[in-house]
Amino acid sequence: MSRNLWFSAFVTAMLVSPFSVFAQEELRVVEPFQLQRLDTQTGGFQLRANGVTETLVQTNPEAAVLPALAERWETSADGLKWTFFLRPNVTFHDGTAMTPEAVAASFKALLPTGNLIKNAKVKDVSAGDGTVTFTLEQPFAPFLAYLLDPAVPVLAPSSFASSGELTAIVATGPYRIEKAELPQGLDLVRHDSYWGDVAKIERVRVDGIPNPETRVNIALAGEGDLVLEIPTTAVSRIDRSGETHIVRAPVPRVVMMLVNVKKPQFADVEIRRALSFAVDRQAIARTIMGNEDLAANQYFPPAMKGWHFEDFKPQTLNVAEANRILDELGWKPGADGIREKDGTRFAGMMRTFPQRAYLPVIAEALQAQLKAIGFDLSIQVGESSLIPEAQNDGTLELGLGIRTMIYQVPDPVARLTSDFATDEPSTDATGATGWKSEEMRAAVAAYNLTTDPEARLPLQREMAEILQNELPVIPITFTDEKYAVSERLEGFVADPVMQTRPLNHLSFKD
Amino acid sequence: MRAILRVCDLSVRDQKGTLLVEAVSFAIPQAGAVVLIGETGSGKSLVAQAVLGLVPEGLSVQGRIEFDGRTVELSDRAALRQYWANHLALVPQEPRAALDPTMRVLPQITGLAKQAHAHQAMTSLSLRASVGRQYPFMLSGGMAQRVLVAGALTTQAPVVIADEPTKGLDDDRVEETVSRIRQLLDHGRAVLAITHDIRVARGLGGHIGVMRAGRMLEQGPVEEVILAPRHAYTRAWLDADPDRWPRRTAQRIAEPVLHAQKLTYAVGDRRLFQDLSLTLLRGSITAITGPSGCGKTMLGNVLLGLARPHAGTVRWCDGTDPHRVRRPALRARFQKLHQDPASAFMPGRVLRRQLEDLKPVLPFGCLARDLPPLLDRLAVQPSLLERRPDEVSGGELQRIAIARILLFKPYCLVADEPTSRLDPLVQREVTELLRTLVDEQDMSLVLTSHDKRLVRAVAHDVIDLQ
Amino acid sequence: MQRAVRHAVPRAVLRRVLEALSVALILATICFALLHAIPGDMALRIAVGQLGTENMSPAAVEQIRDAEMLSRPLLVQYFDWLKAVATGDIGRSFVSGRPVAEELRQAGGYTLRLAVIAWLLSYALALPLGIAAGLKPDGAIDRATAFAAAAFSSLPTFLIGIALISIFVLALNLLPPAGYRRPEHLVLPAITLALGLMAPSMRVIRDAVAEVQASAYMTYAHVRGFGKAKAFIRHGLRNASVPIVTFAALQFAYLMDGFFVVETLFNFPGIGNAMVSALLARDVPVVMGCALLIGTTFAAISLAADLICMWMDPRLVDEGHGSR
Repeated sequence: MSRNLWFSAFVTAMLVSPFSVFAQEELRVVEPFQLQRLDTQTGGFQLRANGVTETLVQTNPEAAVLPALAERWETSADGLKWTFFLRPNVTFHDGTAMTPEAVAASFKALLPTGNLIKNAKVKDVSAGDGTVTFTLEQPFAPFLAYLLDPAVPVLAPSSFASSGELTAIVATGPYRIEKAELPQGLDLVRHDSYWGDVAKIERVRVDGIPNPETRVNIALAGEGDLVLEIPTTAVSRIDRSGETHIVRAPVPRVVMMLVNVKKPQFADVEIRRALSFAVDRQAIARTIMGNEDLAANQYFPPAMKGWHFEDFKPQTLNVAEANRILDELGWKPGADGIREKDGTRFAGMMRTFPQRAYLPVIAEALQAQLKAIGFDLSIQVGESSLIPEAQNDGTLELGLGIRTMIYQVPDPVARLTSDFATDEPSTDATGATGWKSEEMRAAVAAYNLTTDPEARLPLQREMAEILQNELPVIPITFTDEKYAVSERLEGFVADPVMQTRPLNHLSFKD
Repeated sequence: MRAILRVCDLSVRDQKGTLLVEAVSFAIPQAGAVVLIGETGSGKSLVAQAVLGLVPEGLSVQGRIEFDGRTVELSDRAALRQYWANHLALVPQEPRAALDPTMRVLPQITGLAKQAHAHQAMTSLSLRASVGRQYPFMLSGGMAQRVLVAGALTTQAPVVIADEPTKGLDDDRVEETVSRIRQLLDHGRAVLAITHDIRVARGLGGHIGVMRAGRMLEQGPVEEVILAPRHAYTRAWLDADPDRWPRRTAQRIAEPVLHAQKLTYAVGDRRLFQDLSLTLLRGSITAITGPSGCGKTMLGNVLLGLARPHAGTVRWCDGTDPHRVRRPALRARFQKLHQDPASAFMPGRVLRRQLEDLKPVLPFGCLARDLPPLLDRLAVQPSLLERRPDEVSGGELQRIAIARILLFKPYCLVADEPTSRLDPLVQREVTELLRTLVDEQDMSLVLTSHDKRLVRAVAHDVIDLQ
Repeated sequence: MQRAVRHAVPRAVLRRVLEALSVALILATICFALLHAIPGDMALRIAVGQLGTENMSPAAVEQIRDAEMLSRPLLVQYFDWLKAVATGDIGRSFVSGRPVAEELRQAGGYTLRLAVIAWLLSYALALPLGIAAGLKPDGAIDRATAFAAAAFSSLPTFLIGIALISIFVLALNLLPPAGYRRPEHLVLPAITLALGLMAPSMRVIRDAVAEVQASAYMTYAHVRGFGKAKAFIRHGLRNASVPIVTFAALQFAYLMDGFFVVETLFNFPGIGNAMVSALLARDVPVVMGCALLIGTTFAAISLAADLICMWMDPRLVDEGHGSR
């Protein structure tokens, strides 16, 4: 570090100067994630959300798949070949034209590092005349949704070294990366020859700030234009501040109680129903999530058309029924009010993690509510990997986790597969533990082969019904996303499927 | 004789208005010496501080000094300060502490004067030029004092105040120091010396002023005052000089209380004593002398069984070796009197309580029976016991410490420099007391001291650890 | 004297260098042992750090396990690390994949900047206040600063930080709450650290000054005709500096503790932040690299303090002086 820099840093730090030239011009986005590596595998979601990377298709707020870099597509009769007709006149951030060869090469390079897209089992990608064709090993109906795996965007040839290694992110989105300071943030600058709506704001700064209180302070101080994941407790403070206001958007995310079905006290589905009856979801949604409508009476939230069913018998509070079930099963209250059967205490340790601030609070609420049916709940708050570790070594009793159903891939089946229809070890605090359902697996397999949306509906209903009846996880509440949006910002629309924040549509009021 | 500095009606009061120094007046003749002598608390140091304008905050000073035909009010510290360096110089006590440890000697004694003056002054005290380049910590105490004398000579000041120049010195050094101060006189400076050591007055000649309790008891030419003291206190003070103590004549009983053979004790590589054998007899006084750090205290501890020698044996009168037996039967009869009485009592606890604390280790009823006559014998007012250790004087506290020890009817008492922190009068008194107690109680006293004159005056046997 | 200097200084340097090496290695070893002593699957936790909670796959976990060779025996991992360190290579981050040296250079640069400003700021406040208090012990300034020092040292750093945020960010809207890119981002973290640093150093300065003021050589200097100010500059500053410099170096340990809190609170991308997130993500090479850096920095600062003290106090150079 040069002496000059030191000196000036010191002198200017001494002077309080709240105004900076940059601050007025750039759009300041604050999100909770810190980008660890500038690659698509670890940072793909952030890169796409902030408008750097794109792929052949995109989604609308209803999670429907729309054209993007491809104008249209065709599927072969056997369902094995998917051909995409590329949009002409698309240029990469480096000014080169997007050719079919470049697109095919990009997929070839990135598919091995892809995440969910691996389930589509792509055999080959080839370039044609203005087209790119994917050849699959087997028919895979939800392929379009899986194409949206953020780890596999379309990148320019200049992104790769001659060895094939990814060395830079040169993509097609409305913003290009000017400078990356990892893991703190990204400086983005407008891609002037963008094929769609060219961004109105020239510069964007994205900061990754994991601490929610710090994000709240930034919102309160008016230091961020778009601050993501505002905790419920800070909503009214921010709304009052005058600098920013809160925009709420429902998101397809459920908070659920994970149950190890292998444990004797949870093996019987009736017991899981009893536990579910004991949960006062309305109270939790109202007091902790700040919105009673978020109570989760089934696994999928109402916004997810075709997966949420109004006619399902809702899981609601009914302590009397819960106690009746338990009495019938022979679980007798002991001296301390906790039930017992054959020497097994009706008790469990619930593991959860504090990254989502509401989780430990909900765990405590559950502790109090389950006491009413003679269940002794203890709580362990630790790192988020605590739950999958316990799942894998079989020590998990209960867990409290979250699942974003269409996280990254806008088709819930992707996550249903990894959470409820796999033998793979658990890696995230989301799925079933010790629970196995052949019906579920059959439904998933059938779904993956069914292209016709109408024909898919009964399969979707079947899957949702299995979850509702078998309760491998007990849904507690849905969540909404709370954005703090500065008053000077115009044009922000929250994306309920959480695929992107259309930064190119934003502008500053004069 | 012309007075160069006249101190008139100097009084010092504390915040409550109590007089600490009462209307002291004296005159310092040109190139002559005035020695103020007195015990701790007599106010002699306050006089010097007042003249220098250095009395601690909170004390108020009255009176004036006449100097060079001018009169300065002593309450006017700012005016006094103007006299510093130009008219008054100081040779501080503890010479090494008076020098900045991080600064070379020469610039320090140069002060505001020209460097040439400092060189000259150093040369006149036969200090080599290289001394000026040294740091204070590289100087011995004597050398540092010479440097400070040179510092005084560097200034133009006609009057030099020497504050306790012999404090804490072994007796061999006293002579040397006095001659150093004399050099100031030789250079035509007048000296005001503050001391409790009559030898300084003798050595410097000139005038002496005897102070007690803030008052000047008498003053006059040294020879006159020494030969014909007018005041009883002055006489007592002069008699307190160990050289003038009456020689001891009492008989000894040839009954040993302790027998030590071939004692060796080492600290690291350094042998403090080696193959030392001795016998302590009842009714005898054995002195252990030697310069500080020579192992006097350690030898006392070895004899008492408190420190294990590296070689040799100690046998008490019942034949036990205190280093071999876990709890020797005669443990309580071999006692130690500490140098600093304050450290032998628990601070803040009433003295009577501290004596009562001994009940469990004394025979039943012994305390109530023996303590009153002992206090009487040691001239301790019983009411003193209601005070805390810091509320009685050093001499009183030492007497109470002795009373406490005598409760155990010791065979042997090791007194570790029992009087070195006491003023001469008190020193004499305590030593006399110990001496008579040895005769009365037939115990054996081991006295460690670096004061050879004291040892000469009282001891039957002398062990010199050189 | 000259010869003594020639011996004492290299000896001090040698001692501190050896100390640096051993402290750094011991610290790193403890970190290694602790990281592996925490239960749980290392690869899984690294994957969480790399990919986030909801984005992991079994394949990713296994890939990390293979890539970082985590299935090797611990001792082998440790000695391989030692071997690499001996050749000057402290490895790559498990999470970011970048060389640890590069990450440390970046984070360390930010932290150094913050530390220097905080340190200067704290002494800019503590020196005048401490000297003023020490020049008049038990005076009004002394009592006031003693009270302030007691208050600030009993407050945890994060509370000071939160209080400053409430005042300067939320109430007055003068300063940004978090960040690192603009100079004003440094103000609040630096003040937070400085206030915590200032409290004890003010008392140390006060005691050092009071001791020097009460010393015999100061009185002597006054008698020699030096005015209060002149005597203090001539004798006081240098003598009082020795304990102050020694203490200032020790304060680095406090600073390190402060970095963890302050950098997290203000989202400042320094060493404290890096180490906390590396610990959570089980990023062993980064944690151990941080330990090496902290250990060597501490020793380097101690060495600098030693040399400054030796320059100021010749007694420290002559090692034989104590026996005289």
